[in-house]
Amino acid sequence: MKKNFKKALQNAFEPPMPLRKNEFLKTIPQPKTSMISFMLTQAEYLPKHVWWSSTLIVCIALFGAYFLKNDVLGIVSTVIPFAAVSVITENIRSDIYMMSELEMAAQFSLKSVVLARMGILGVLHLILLLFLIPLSSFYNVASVLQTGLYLLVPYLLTITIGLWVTRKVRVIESMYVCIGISACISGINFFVQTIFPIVYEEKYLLNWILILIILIILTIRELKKDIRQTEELIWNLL
Amino acid sequence: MELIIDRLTKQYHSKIAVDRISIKLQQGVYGLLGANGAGKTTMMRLVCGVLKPDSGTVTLDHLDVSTEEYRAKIGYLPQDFGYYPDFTGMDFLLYMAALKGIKKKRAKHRANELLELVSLREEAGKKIKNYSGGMKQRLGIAQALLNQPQLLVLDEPTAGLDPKERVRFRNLIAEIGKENIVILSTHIVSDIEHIADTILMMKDGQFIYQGKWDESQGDLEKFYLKQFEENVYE
Repeated sequence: MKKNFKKALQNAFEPPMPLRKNEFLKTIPQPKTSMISFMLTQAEYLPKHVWWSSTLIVCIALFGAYFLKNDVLGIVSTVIPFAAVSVITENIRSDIYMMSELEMAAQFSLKSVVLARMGILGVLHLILLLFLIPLSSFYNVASVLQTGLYLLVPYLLTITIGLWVTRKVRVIESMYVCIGISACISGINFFVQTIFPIVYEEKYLLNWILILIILIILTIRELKKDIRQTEELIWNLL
Repeated sequence: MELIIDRLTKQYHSKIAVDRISIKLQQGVYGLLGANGAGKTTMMRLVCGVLKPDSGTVTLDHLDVSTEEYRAKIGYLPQDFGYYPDFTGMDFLLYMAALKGIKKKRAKHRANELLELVSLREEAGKKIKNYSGGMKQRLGIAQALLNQPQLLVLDEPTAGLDPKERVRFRNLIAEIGKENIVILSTHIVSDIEHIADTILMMKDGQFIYQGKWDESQGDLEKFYLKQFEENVYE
């Protein structure tokens, strides 16, 4: 009976519109998003090609290890520049798709977005290298240190040049330029391996270390410049 | 709630885009009028922290424009904005909600609420690349409202909206302006003359008029055009 009465009342009268609903809702404290949880959210928004390119490189390495044994290092060092492309394209993705202005004005600004993307890619590529270096070294006379150098140099060279180029020109075509750069470095790498295998001898190890240090410094410098650029919209009066 | 703009200046090479602007804004709708190149967009960008001023400050309830706390309180619709390929309307709102620090569950609820508000509920699952200009603009308005901002900055928000949508949008802004600060820039007088509590008219980076406009002062459009004509003859 009571239930029926309740229902009859509900049918007979329209509930009043809530007064100052938004004002009330604003008083309810919302849980804060931590940087870690923000980074994990950003991982969901990484384009699929980032994951596919890393998976493809692992597959190529495994294929090389199974069928070509000794040549696996050469193959991996030739394809590694293509993994580096995602670092460059992710760095400029907001500008390319005209999302920068919206992201800059958000609580987690463009700077946080780019740092999150770089962090995720850093971890992903670290895992990739931690798998590729021992695998390539296992089937080669080169030591783990040498293998690491031979993989990191083309990887960082692609990133350094790519970041420099994309800092100057930020249009959708820059993505294709980046792919071109990685293809060039990959080609040069293959050319050096075939024509001048002497550079991979142990006596040149110090030179490789020196090149790596220079590239690390240049990459950090380029990344810093890029992050600084995310703090303000590139303003154009034209 | 108070937005204080103090001697705000932005110069680009030889052109001063915003020239020592000072103003205090409280709850209400502020209509920013000005011809192209008057400095409206630069002013909006400075208020949203997208551009850094050469001098001067912007604070909302004593929070500086450069802080995360300030950004948490604002909603911004730029004049032009893009989207990541393959984003649906819902993806776009959820992505923006994540950037605004809104938790996923709440973000979904709020996104549905806003999609309903801007009449995009049916198209929520469609790719943005298939949206019309008006639909994209309505989605932009929705993202600006995600965090229930205390300061809403809208740069040319009615561009691409059809007359019916314009009326709905005006009512929505008038409602939001009751409890918050809304700054709306446009060069179309009819967009703001009925809803703006205060008119701000910009020319050469400065306010040439600021205050309420009532009909006894004459036609706002005529007054605005007169300023523009003077600009042409100069």
